Amino acid sequence: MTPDLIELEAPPLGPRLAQEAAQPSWGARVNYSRAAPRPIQQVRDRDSELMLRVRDGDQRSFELLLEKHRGPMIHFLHRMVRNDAVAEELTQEVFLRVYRSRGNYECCAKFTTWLFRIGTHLALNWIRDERNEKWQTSLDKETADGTSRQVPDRRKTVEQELLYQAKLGEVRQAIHSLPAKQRAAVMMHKYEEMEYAQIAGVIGCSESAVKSLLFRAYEALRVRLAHMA
Amino acid sequence: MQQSLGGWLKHGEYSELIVDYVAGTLDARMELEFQKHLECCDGCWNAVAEQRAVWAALDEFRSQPISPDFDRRLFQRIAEADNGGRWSWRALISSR
Repeated sequence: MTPDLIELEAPPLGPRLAQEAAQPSWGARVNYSRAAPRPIQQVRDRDSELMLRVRDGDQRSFELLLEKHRGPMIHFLHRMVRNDAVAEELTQEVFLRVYRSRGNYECCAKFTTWLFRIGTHLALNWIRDERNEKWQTSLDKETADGTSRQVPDRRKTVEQELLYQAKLGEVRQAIHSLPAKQRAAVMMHKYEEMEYAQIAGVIGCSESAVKSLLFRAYEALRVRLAHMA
Repeated sequence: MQQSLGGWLKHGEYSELIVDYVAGTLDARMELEFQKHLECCDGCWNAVAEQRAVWAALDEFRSQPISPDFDRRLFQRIAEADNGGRWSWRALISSR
């Protein structure tokens, strides 16, 4: 059990839920473990401390932040822009901006709120950018320093790959049918497990607006993906 | 007309809990309240099943591995931006 999960005693079930619970697959989908209430957000979290050290010239702290957030940021941006190379380039830009902004960094929000605000801003700009097709083409050819881009090794059997790609294609299509802000909100809610308040901080809107965005987004996704149950 | 089905919230308010219920982020009291409601509301029952399907489908959308030269390229760009700076990016570039 991960440290942020607590085991709760199962509440008494009504006949309908009890019937579903008796089905073999039910246990896999529903359990009574849930995330413990998250502590009230402190502005000065561990990552913010590291960023303050970066501001003071500590290179090692920058490497630690990169190590921790590089993956989630690439994955977030990949889901936003649907292109491996562009997601990596945008992530590079995010961390380059973090580095360039180090001197002005103030600990007035959670570090990840600031980081994802940069990432979301870049992604939304890219999505709006009419020239993205041109950029995409140039990225496919070579990197800026003239060397060939190293492609990640992801070997699967042909059959596994076909099945995975078919399902993935459908999910991607559904996600990309969402307006960009709804998409960003879903990515942060589902994959980064951000609370409504933090998503609001990233997107720059009210918490109730985030709830509304997510409600509409999931409603649209249910229409498109419910058959995959 | 909104009606109360199974508890003290209005029906429209229950439907707003579907996402949190499936995400497992409702507190225990609200979860119990919502489960009581599910016993008698076909609309929310079906919506929960669909939301679970969406949740599972989104789990499939795992992203690609990161390029092995990601850090090297980033440090290269930082070194260029930080020309003359005191940080030793060059050493990091050659070590990755």
